[in-house]
Amino acid sequence: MKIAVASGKGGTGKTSISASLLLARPDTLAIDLDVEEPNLNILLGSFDGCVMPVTMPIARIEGSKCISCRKCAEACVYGAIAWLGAGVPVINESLCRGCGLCPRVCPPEAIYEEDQVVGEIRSGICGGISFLEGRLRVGSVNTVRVIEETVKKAQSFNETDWLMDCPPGTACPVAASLRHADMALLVTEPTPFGRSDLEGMLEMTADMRIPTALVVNKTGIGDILIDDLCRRFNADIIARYPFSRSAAESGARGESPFKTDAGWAETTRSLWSDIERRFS
Amino acid sequence: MNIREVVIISGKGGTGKTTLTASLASVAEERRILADADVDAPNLALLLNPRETGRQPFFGMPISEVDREQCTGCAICEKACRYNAIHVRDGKAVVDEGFCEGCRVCLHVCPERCISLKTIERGIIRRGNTALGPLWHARLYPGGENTGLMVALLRKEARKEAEASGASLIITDGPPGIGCPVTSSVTGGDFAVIVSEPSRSALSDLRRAAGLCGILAVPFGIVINRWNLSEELTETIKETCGNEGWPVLGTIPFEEKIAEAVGAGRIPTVEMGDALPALWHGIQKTGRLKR
Repeated sequence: MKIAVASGKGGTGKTSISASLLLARPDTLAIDLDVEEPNLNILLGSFDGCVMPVTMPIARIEGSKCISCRKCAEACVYGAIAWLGAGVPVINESLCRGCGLCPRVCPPEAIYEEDQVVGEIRSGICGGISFLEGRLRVGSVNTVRVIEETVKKAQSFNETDWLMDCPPGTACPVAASLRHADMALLVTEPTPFGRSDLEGMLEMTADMRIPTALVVNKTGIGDILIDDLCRRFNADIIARYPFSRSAAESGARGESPFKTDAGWAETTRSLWSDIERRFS
Repeated sequence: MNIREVVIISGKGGTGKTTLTASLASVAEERRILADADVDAPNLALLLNPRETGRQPFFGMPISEVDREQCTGCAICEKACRYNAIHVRDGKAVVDEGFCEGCRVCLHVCPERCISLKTIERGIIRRGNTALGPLWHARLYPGGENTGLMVALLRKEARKEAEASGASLIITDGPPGIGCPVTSSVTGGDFAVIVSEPSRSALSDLRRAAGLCGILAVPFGIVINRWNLSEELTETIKETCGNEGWPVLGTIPFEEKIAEAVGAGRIPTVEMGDALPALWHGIQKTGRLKR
């Protein structure tokens, strides 16, 4: 089963709960898809493996072949090719999205593509668990590209059980992660912000028709209820982790509370049996 | 009129950007405009309770649409699409609207010429009045593309209003991460405040957010929120900032009464105590926000 752990709001505890689930079932493939801020490795343990670049083709113009017809500049919807009135058009690399249209419209085939590194994939073992991580290069905006390449790598492993630690928000990076999931585990917190972002997340898993269950983390830090959302979206709360300062502190140090807090570990084990009872 | 825009970001989510944005707005004395650029998880309005004065639909880039009658299912479009956004299912090409970036490669390669463009509503941009000033906020519909474009439009509206109304300050609540929407929030801003907290994850994310500000050439400083949750890691963050030459603008403690105020939908101006005006003073000074 391929489980996606997502949340809408950042900082609700996606990564803590992902790490705990993985430590409880170390035969599950760990995949960190929060490629802008990958932190799962910090909670799992030391990483041993290899690093592979993620590239994207960027357009370039061979000036000597260019006939200054400006078809490329007219075709590019991202405004990445500037026509300066004469001569060879200029490509703005930071705006190029690598769609591959300009080489196709260039009559003398003066445009070629060159791979540019937009991120990396770490593949190996982390804290004794098979581990994959996508990591966006700082300054690149190609989040979805790195997510998709990481998932492709995961698919090549032929493992049946995945746990994907997803990015926050409800935009395309989350959609790119969720579309590979058999079920979504949404981590929320009982605060007004937590509830509001959970609602957006539930709309999304409902739209994508992904079976969904909820985990309420940090119970006790607020008293906001979500029962009406559970009913509306037919998603049950299957675990509650109470807020504990000691769990927060061990997480902050990079130690999963699964290892340091007996109550937390017990909740995680019963969460696994609930997931299996409902979804496998 | 010299308008200064300060953008609150964090790298890691949940470090307290939104709470801090509202709190800083409550102690700023300048005429100000507020903007919530976290368009796919917007929460600033929950603390500011705007009275809505206007709304407009947001349309992203036009995306591809297949004429099913004409489509022969040849899959040439599927092979050409770099975004994995068009697939042949049951003999017909189907566009995945959440992934299509509107590049038009499929239109170009389709031998049947049966792909065209359509514009879809991707979200909504709103304006409202609040006790702390006008608020521009938005909601991207779940699963949507074009967050960066939406953030750019939202910031443009906030700036237009600042120019028209004579406001001298724009305070923008940014998104988490370092990708498209963050880049779009920070680019061209006058100063970025990176909200961190004492954890190894937050420190890793702080480094990436600071790296992005460096690339975008936007000056920045760091706030350590909930510093007393780990005094040891707070020291580590301060040391890192010292070694890198990043200014620490101030610290805010973790206190239950702050969490309770936010839980009740209130801005914790009083609960944050003296740390808040001291922090705002630090931001004004380091960010050269005062003329």
